[in-house]
Amino acid sequence: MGRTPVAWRNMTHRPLALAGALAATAFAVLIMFMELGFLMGLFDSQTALLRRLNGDLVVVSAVRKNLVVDETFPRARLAQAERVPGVGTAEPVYIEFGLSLVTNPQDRVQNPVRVIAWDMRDDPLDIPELGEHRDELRLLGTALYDRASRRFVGSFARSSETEIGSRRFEIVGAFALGADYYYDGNVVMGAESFFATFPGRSREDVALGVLRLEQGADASEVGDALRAQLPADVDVLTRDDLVAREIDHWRRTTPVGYVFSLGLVVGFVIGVAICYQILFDEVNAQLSQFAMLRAIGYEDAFVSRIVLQQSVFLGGLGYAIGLLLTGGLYRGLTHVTGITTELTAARAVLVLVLTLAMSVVAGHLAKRRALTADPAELY
Amino acid sequence: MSTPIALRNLTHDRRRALSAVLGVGFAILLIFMQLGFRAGAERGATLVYDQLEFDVVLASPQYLFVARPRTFARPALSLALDHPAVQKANRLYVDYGRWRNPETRERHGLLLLAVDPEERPFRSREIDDALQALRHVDTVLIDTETRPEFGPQTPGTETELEGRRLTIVGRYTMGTGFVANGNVTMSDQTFARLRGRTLDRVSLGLLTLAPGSSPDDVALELNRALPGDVVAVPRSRFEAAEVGYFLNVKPVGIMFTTGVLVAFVVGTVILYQVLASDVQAHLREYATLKAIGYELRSIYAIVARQGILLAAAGFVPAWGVSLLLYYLLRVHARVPVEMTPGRLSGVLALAMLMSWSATLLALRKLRRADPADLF
Repeated sequence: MGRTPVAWRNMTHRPLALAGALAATAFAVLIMFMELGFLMGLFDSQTALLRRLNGDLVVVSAVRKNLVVDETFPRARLAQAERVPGVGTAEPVYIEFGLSLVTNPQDRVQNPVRVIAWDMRDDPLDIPELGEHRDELRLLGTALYDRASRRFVGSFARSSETEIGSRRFEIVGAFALGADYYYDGNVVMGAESFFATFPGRSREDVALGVLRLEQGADASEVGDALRAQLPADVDVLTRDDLVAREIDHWRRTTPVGYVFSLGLVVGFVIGVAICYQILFDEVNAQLSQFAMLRAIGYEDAFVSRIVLQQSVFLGGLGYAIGLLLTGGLYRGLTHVTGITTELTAARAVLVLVLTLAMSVVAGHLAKRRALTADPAELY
Repeated sequence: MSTPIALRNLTHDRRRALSAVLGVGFAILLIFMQLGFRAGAERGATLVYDQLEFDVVLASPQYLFVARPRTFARPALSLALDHPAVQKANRLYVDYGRWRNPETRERHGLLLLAVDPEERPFRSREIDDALQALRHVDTVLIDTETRPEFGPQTPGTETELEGRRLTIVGRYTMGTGFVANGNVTMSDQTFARLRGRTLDRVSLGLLTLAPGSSPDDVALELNRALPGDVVAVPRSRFEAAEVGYFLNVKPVGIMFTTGVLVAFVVGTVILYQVLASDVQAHLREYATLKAIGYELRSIYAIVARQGILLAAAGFVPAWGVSLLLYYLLRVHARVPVEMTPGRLSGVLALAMLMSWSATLLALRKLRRADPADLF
């Protein structure tokens, strides 16, 4: 038989108090996850398209400091880029938002979505669902619909008909990219359909230029060469730098970025403080038991181990319950808003570390009290 | 004077009391913060309309929200003026445009409003008077709430909007909340040149009614007379729909609404937990009081007083920090959020309610128990 699990028994002998403390800890964890989910959902969704770019370097207009402002650059820059040593291919991507209304087949309401287009012989975006539809999309009036768009944009069965702009379209399939805080949904089409639908757009004006390098070429060296040789009307960035710049834009210059950042900081302070308060309180409530253990001759090391164990048990268990609640919250948010709110391992670990750190600090402080108190005084 | 038992009880273990005040305070702060975020989105939704004078609005049936209004054919305004109760029918054009910061040369998107300056469509005389500076084409007024990334706002500054050279000739204060990062107002003539279009398609028609007429009735009558590409909506319903769009359709509103719901559940549970465990920790003292002959009623009074002290001690700093948060939101996010008396008293009432229910539930044990058992 093993030893008596003192910490465990201590915790469970008052099930109601334990349930209260666990619920409070779990909720403190949930608050941290909620605020984290809001901010990371913003960053993830605003950069979802950029993270799908299928290349090492990206060319954008020099005045395009964020993705939502409609700025293009001359296609000739891509031909120039292809002549720079190390550059394999340079492929243009075209984007329309202002005029791209898609009719919802269910309620006939027209909703603006982002239309992303490229020559279907190219491969500038990583869309796994594209493969089987590539040939179909070269026909005029065919498009792929983003099934992760907001639900009010409509649901499109394969081969369903709709209008995009003022042109009839056949939806030949679906892919998943997701809505963001600016765009309610996405459509992908071939360049021919794009220019036929939006006559104001020109093949010569490119939104994003995706560069793939030759085998063995170094992205930062080729980037430097491109920046030196291309005119100043374009910027050349690595995909990661472009993603970082987009996140920076949303964090620094938009109200929603500020609000969610503030929410995250305050939410973490609140979550951590409440974790600490609840854990300290719960362990503190049992100080007399610990004093009793000391009075009957248990060593300090034994008592302090039990106090710490108990605190970490509470923190860990509270975290596990909070994590379950978070899973439900994130799924609900993704479903209702179309903003992909993801529980990545790094985010889960960040909150776990904070929770456990608070358990240790709270346990440590409670332990000091348990060891310094005169047993008799506690009665 | 009698001994202030509640206060003494709380303060005799200072670290414990401090920790409880901290827990209560943070739970309240959480509720204030999330309520503030949502209130900012709610108030921010109608900032543009708050400045405009109208009782009934004409809009496209495809109208989404202020920055995506769609358009309808201008003759609907003359038709509306045929109604005896309609006194004025002003045109408003709304669009997004790319504004160049003349210092950094970067371009940023902002909200464009265009009006006929002669129509004086704003509620405030200052803005209407400022419109008179727009008589020359290619001039704009800039909203002082426009973010600093858009560059200098001093009158005389020359810059580009949608590639067209313009001069800033004045300023006004409006704010656009979560709609846009900046806002300029220009004359309809400048707008027509900028967009290379005629003014035949209007974003919104702002109708002012004769005193005493009912916007609901007039809107109903107008909708019978107007063509299918335009609808008349009374101001109150129009603004309610605008707020509803931000809170229930836009992701940011849904996030804030979720935040408020979660904050209430979590804040309430934590308030309860902190207060209940505080009562629990002092159960022995109360048992002693009971044993030495205090009536249960007066013990309840002591504990209730103690709960109120604790809730109040947490509430005051949470209130202070919330005021600071709201200030930061107003200054940095340009979101219009104030501490309203309703929110203040609502959250206070919630804290008190939690304090009493925690007291009642925690003391059930004391009522039933033999004091000696509690040792």
